[in-house]
Amino acid sequence: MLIIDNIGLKMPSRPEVYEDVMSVWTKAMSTVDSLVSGVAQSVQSPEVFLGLSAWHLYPDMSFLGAQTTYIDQKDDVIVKGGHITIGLHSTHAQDENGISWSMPLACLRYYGKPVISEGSLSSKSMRVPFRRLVQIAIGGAISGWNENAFNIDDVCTFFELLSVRIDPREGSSTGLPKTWMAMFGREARNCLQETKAHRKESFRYISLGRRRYGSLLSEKHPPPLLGLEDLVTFLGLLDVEKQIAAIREISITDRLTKNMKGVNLNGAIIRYFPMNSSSAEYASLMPQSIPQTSRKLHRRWVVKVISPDYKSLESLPVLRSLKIMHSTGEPCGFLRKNDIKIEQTDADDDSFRFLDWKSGYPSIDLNYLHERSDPDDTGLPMDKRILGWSIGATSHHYGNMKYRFSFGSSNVQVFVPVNEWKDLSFKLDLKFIAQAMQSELIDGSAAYKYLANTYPDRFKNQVFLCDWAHDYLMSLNALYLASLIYHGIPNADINLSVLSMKLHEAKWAMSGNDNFDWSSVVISRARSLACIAMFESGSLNIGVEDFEEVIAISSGNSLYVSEYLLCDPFTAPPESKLRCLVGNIGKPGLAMLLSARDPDVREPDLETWEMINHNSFDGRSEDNFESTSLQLHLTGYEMPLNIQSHGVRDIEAFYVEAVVSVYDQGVWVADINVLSLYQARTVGELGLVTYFTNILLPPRCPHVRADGDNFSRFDPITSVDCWSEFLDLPKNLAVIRARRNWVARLALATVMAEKEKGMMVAGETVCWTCVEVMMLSKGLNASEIRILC
Amino acid sequence: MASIGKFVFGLASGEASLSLANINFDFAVVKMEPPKELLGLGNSLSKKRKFEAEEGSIHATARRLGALFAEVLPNTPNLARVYGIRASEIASNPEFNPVGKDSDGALASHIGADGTSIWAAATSSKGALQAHLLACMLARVWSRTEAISIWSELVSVRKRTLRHELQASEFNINAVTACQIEIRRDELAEWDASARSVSFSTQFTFSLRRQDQPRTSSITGLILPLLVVAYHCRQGKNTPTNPVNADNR
Repeated sequence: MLIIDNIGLKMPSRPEVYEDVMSVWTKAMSTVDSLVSGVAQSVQSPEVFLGLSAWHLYPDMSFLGAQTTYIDQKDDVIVKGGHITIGLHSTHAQDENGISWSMPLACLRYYGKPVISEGSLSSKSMRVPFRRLVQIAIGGAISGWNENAFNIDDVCTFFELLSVRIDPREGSSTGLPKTWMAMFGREARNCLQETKAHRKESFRYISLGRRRYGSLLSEKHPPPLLGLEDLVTFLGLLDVEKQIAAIREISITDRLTKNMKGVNLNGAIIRYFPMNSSSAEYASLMPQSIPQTSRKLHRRWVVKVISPDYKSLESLPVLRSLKIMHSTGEPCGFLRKNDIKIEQTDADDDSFRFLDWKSGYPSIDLNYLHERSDPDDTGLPMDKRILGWSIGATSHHYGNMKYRFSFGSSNVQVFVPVNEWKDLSFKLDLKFIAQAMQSELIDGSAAYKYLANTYPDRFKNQVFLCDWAHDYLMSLNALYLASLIYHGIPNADINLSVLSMKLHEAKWAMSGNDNFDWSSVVISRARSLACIAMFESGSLNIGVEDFEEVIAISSGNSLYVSEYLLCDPFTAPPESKLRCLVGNIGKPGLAMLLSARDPDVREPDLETWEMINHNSFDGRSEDNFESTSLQLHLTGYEMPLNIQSHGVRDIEAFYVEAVVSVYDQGVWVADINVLSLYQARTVGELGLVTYFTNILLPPRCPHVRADGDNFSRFDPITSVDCWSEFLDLPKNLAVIRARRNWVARLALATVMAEKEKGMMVAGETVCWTCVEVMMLSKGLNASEIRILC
Repeated sequence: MASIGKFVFGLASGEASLSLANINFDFAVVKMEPPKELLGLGNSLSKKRKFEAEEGSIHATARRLGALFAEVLPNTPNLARVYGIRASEIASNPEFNPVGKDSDGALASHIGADGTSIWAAATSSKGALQAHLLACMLARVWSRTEAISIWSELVSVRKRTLRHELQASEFNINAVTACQIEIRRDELAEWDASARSVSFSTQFTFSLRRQDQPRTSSITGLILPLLVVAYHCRQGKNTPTNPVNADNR
């Protein structure tokens, strides 16, 4: 199929559908007919490719080019010699759309002019495993990333880092991903770990998404790198100290400074506000030479207020400077409060002036501080501390100059001398962000909030991904939800036509709740089926509520069936669990199987009374219902689902009512509705609501075996060993024996659930102590108990 | 085609007194011997599906389509043979065409590939198999609703042409029967759906071939040369416009 993707071909167009189709039909058949009989064909027409693809034939091919390329497909049904030659002039360099075919379709609607329709055979008409869709979505997500998306290896590394940084558990966990980031991260890691050939294949899907399917997520995308290209957004994910480190890094990184061409940052200074503080501190942007050492150092300054109450007030900046030197290793000097004057300029306050910063504040002697600092605690040797202050007081070049804001965030800002100021706009690149994640510069929980919050609390000026493009994020969340659903049915394929939809519009992904927590979403059967209906058809967007009564979907060659229909009731499968089977119910379109209500059960009749023995229970557990079988029938009731405009002739989706019949040796016994078994909520004697799981005896119990095996306390007990006995249950405690026969047990339990309040379902063995406990807790009489084992 | 012609003629001549205009040929009752290449497929179909294909409405649809179009289609015995082998090969693979097991419970009889349209076509006539081949092609390119409306248009135009021919030229018994054929839209939908479900097993075929023939293992192996071709095509100036010229240089 991907071969065909590479050949951009258009079917020759004729005005009449009939002539058009007949010509394609006969041409494809006669060419392929001679081809398979061993006559080499030179192929210039798309009809033949379409035929080969539809009929699963793989002849050898040679491509004429500067070099002739021969592809040996080793299809042994084709007689030797039957290969096709593809001439170059037949491959029109179209936009890689595979084979396209357009016709005016007159019979599409009941009334109206023929509809010009275009179909195509390309990767879009393929069915692929779900992970390919994730790959295409990765491509779609990066479609606006410009040069950052050129190298898919780097993009994969980016997403892997992203998921690991946000959720450290993600790195090692084997469970389900917790967020869309983790979903992308895991798929990216899979791609990177694949063998070369497979990786190449995966990358093809990613680049397909990058080229064409950005719209799968939304029309509007956030700025590149999930918005992190934007400096303010990026800095928002960092604490103050890391912002300083990042800004210094940015200023010396070649790639980024290229964007700042012509801007001299040597005279620039960082003004920052530490956490929970409104007093500014200052730091150098570039390392500086100082007389005390040959190395270049970064420096800091804290502001010291001159006050009559010298001792009490001064201690705070002193401690602060010690803390800074300790935590950063950078010398920290002092500035007098009246040194710095913030000047209000024009309309904005993005400039200030150092009036006199030649001397700073004199270094402090150790004696003064002796009692207040604990030398052992700081880790720095004494002299170093003094040195730090002395260095802080030495000369620097931030003289009596006016500064103007250049770039930075609300709490960490770079100012440059006004005369050197230039308007500079620069963007962070993929490598830088990846590095920032690798070096743990980015704060994981802040990044999580930024990327995952759908309706964040607003405070300060913080920006979130959803502010850039809400739909984009919602699409990613929808895809994440779908990935959880498809995780349970790994053998299922999806229809790539879904690429023309917008995921955020998917009804099954709508929460109806603004504060929906995507990491702990509960997936119901109805939601799963609605999701599958979309990915299976590639076009149906059906609401979850339409699937409440649906137990299975049949579409194409796949059956998606609720686990309820396929397993022993004792296993109590989760409501959302589905299985994907190869097969169908032979109905066109997407059939949603409804489980018939009020199923019928055979009445006990006079002719079978002879078969009723109702022997006393002998304590053995055995299977006496071997000849029970289940069969799904359609009742004939069909109801189109109202999802499209009127006047369309063919219905895409409809309800089909189905009933599961129970047969005993081929003779009908009962119909069952398994949903009624699992959804049963009966009100017991004590007014307690009983859910399905309440009828299950515990699989493991602490009771002593000898006690548990002792059933004589319930005598008399009758064993029920065939359907006739079952339909005519005795008036005392009954044990229905169908050991390890899930089909019979499902049938028996479902029939019983309708009428017997004393039903208990056991595993392979019955612990009679547990039976007693359950009996008492439910307020039952022993004679009402029916145990299925 | 030939067989249909003989068959129809035989029936008609046996009841010569019947008014020709009232010939009502029930296509559902006729069953043909399937070609031997397709026997493998027939054997692997579930009982329920086989019954559908031989006695159900899809059989009648296949037969009617075959009768309508057989005369205007080329004879393609090799294609029919090869397609039969391929279809049987696919049907014999348990991954693509599993058999209903106990674990499938109530759904056991619905399990497996939907080969009903192939088998219906195979047990009716050659024209019908060709109609199935077209159904596969249409399913590849067109959506379900589009494909059904194409079929619907094909049938009505073909009938109109036949009627026209009947008026214009000499009498033709095949045309008389054929132009009275009615195929309902839901029958065409069923026809399309069955072919569609078979046609979308591409991945299967790839994986089947991969297991058998490790040398053509990766799809990428097939793609690579094509990328080269595509590249050359884009370049334009370096590539000869006609491969024949390229050979002669």
